[in-house]
Amino acid sequence: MVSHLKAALALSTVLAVAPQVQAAPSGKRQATEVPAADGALRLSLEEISVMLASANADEVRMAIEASAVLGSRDVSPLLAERVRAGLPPELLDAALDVFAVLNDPQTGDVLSELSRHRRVSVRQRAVRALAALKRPEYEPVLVRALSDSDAQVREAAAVGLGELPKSTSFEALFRAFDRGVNHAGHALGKVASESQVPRFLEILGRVPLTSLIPVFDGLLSRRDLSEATKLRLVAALAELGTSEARGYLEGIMQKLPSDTPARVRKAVAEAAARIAQ
Amino acid sequence: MTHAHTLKLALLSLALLSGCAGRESFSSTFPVNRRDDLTAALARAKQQGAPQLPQVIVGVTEQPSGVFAYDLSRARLLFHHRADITGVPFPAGPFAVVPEGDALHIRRLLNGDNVFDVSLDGMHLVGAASDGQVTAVVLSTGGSMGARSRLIVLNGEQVTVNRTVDRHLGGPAVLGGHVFVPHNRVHFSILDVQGTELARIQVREDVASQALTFDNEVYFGQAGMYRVDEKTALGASGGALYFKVARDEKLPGQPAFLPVTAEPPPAVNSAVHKVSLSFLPELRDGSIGLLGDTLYMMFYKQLYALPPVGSSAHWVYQTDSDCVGVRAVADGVLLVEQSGTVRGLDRDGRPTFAADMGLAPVVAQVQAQVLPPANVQADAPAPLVMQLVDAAMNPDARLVPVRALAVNMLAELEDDAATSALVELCQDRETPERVRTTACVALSKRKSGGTQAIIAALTRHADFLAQTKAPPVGPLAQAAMAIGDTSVAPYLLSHVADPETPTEELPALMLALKELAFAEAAGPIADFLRLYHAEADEQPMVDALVLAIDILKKLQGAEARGTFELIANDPFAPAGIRAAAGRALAELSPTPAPEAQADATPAETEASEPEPEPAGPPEYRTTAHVEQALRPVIVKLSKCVREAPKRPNSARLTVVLDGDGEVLAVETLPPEVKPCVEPLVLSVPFPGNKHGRRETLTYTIPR
Repeated sequence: MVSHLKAALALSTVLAVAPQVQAAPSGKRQATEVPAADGALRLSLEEISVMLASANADEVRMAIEASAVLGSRDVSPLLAERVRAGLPPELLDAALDVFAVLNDPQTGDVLSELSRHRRVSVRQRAVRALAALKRPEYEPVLVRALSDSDAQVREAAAVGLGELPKSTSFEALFRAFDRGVNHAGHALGKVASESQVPRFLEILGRVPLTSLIPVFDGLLSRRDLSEATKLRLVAALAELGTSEARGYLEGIMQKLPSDTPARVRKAVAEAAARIAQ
Repeated sequence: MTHAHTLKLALLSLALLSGCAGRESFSSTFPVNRRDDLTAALARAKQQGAPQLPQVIVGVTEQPSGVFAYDLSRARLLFHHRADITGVPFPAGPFAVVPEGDALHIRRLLNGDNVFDVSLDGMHLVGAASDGQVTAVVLSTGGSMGARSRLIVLNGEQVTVNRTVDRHLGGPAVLGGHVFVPHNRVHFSILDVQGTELARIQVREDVASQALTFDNEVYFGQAGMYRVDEKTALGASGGALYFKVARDEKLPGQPAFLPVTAEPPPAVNSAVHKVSLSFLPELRDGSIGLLGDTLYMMFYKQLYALPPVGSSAHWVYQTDSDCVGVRAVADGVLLVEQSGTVRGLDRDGRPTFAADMGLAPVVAQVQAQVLPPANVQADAPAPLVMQLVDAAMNPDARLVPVRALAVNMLAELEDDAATSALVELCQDRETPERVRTTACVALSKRKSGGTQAIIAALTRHADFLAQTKAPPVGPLAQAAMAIGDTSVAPYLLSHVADPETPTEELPALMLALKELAFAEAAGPIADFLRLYHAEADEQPMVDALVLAIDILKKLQGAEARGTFELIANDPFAPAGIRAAAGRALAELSPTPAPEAQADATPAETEASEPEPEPAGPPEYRTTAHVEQALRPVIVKLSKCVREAPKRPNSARLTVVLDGDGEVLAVETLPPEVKPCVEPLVLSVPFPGNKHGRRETLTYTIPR
């Protein structure tokens, strides 16, 4: 009898959410879940667990979507397990979207696995979600994703590497930057150490300044870089002496953090003025 | 005079008359295969030995239109005569024989002066030859029926024969003052300088199209060549000395072994002149072969030195511009390029001679016996494998057929370098499809020589930052399987989870892993199966997954049961994959599958009874467990199906069971039977499983 009650609970869930299901078994409990304010269904963890195992694609989808609004991270392992057991494309995509919403470090491993999925859209979603976790243990996965054949996967990986608190991926990002991964520039501006800054000065003048702007934006805005390093950057831009450099220096004045050292601000202003002459 | 004497005289006169009429040159009644006549004529022809002729090139230029002769010995232009050249000219001893406008001109090589000319009269130049003193020229309308030909013979510069015959004459040869002429496809005649036919051979088993002389011997033929001697009339099968190329493949462009003289000649500027063969015959040990065992094949910018049998190559030489003439000589081969460059290559393909003629021929014919004195110091040719790789990678689109040939020749070489080259060609998406496919097929068929190259190729993965491409995993896997070297297996395995491995190459990869039985493959293969079994929307992926099931069964045996259960019972998986998993489960089980599933899917029909469990619940539940649990109500369940409004043939039941056997959910297809089916399903007990895992199972309810 207990088993029947449990079954009734699961079935009532199905009945409540699946319009194609016509009738509930007699003598069973009524559904308890209600739609969330945003329209998504609210199911219990147990109900989600049951529905994830359903043979009905609509029910699995409902369970996946309900996972996003459950408000409990206990659902992450369930969802990860279901993904590893194999899902049709549309359901896997839905699960990945939920992983992104959950932003739960527990999903890191399954996202890492999916970052090598055969379908590009899966890799894109997985790497974006993984990047959003900002977990250093997945840095190697993101570095590997920089080598993906798909540009969006590479860009997502570069964004993620730029968000890591202590990225050690400078070389990989630098190579990605060299290969035209746009967000690698942004990331490099965030992760380059003092000793790595000269690498940008070496290529200044050899690559279009526009491609280096994200790097310089990041470097000049950083609080953890020394004043001397920033002054070297400004000096290099001044030495470049092009109208693009002047335009950039004039523009950066507005974007510098308020606590930027006065000497740096002054150097930027003077460099812009010097080029103008 | 007695009556007897009168009769004898009459018979003698008749015999003399008939003998004279029958021996007229090229007459249809000329006696054939007279051994004594042939022996005598050949002996006279060979008395003087092989002639030494001027080493020259005679060719045609288009801008300006004209004919030229170039002295190879002195490396200087002999003449360049502007004219409307209407056919390919021939060098013939001291002359250049040139179709110009409506006439044929026989010009002195030394200065181009006209020695003799005659109207073409609707015929074309078939061929010309000389022994230095006697020169023979043949014109013909071509064709077999109603053909008309002209034979011109010169002794020195004096015309001794200039007659037309109502039959086709082929390309002549001259030796020791005797003229050798193939005619009417089946005859080969020897004439003296006055045009008197001395002997005739009736030819079998090949066409008498073109005659040639070399090393004081005479040959003729078309598809192959006969040596002219007393046995020639016996035919190739009767013991005559006969040679025919026996390459394994058709040569690109199918160039003729000897000219097909009955056909109209190609235009002067035809591309046909850039695809041709050249060779010299050689008598050895009572048979005919090719001198140096080499058939030279010119194909636009490539020259192949080929053995006459098999499918390999001695060497390949590539030129900067198109080749318009080729001639095998005793110690190598001479090439004439469209750029005006003349090259001499020794028998190993090493350049020994080069000269610039200072004009650009569109077609050229070479008269030479040996290479000119060396004037080039060239390094030893690169190894054959490199020559073939270079040839196979030549980007000239016209060379695609011969590039594919080069790839097949590469496949003949059993070493790592050849394998590496095949890998490169197979994986390069820029390579023309025909060449690439040839390389991939050749790679997949390799049976030896190349394990290291295969491993080196498999070590590489597609990497955007490293700018590397995925190797041709499928062909490499097939090669690894053919070689049977298990050391390749780990490298193959690394491509299973690589998304850059093309789907169409997955089946070959899986098959190789199955054959190589690499134990460590089990884990990654199981992961692959679980992850993709519900996503298989392409047949290669289905094939790969079915093979993956086989691998797991082979490597893990009963340990793989869990994975197979998952797949066999997953309604999202394609039927073929579910069936394969069901078969694997059945093969892992000691008892046969239950009956009463007439309308079940393959996965269900082939799922077996659960193994007898010595104690406790089964590790996994199967459709068989469901069937067993439903036996008490199966009649009622069938009634539900029979009485459903739409009267379906069967109904699919899906039950979600908790680890302890509790029913968590019931679904049916069609949904209309659910109100009837569900209470029945809920009324029977289901077994639990060993690890308390939730499982979704399906079962087909028959009518």
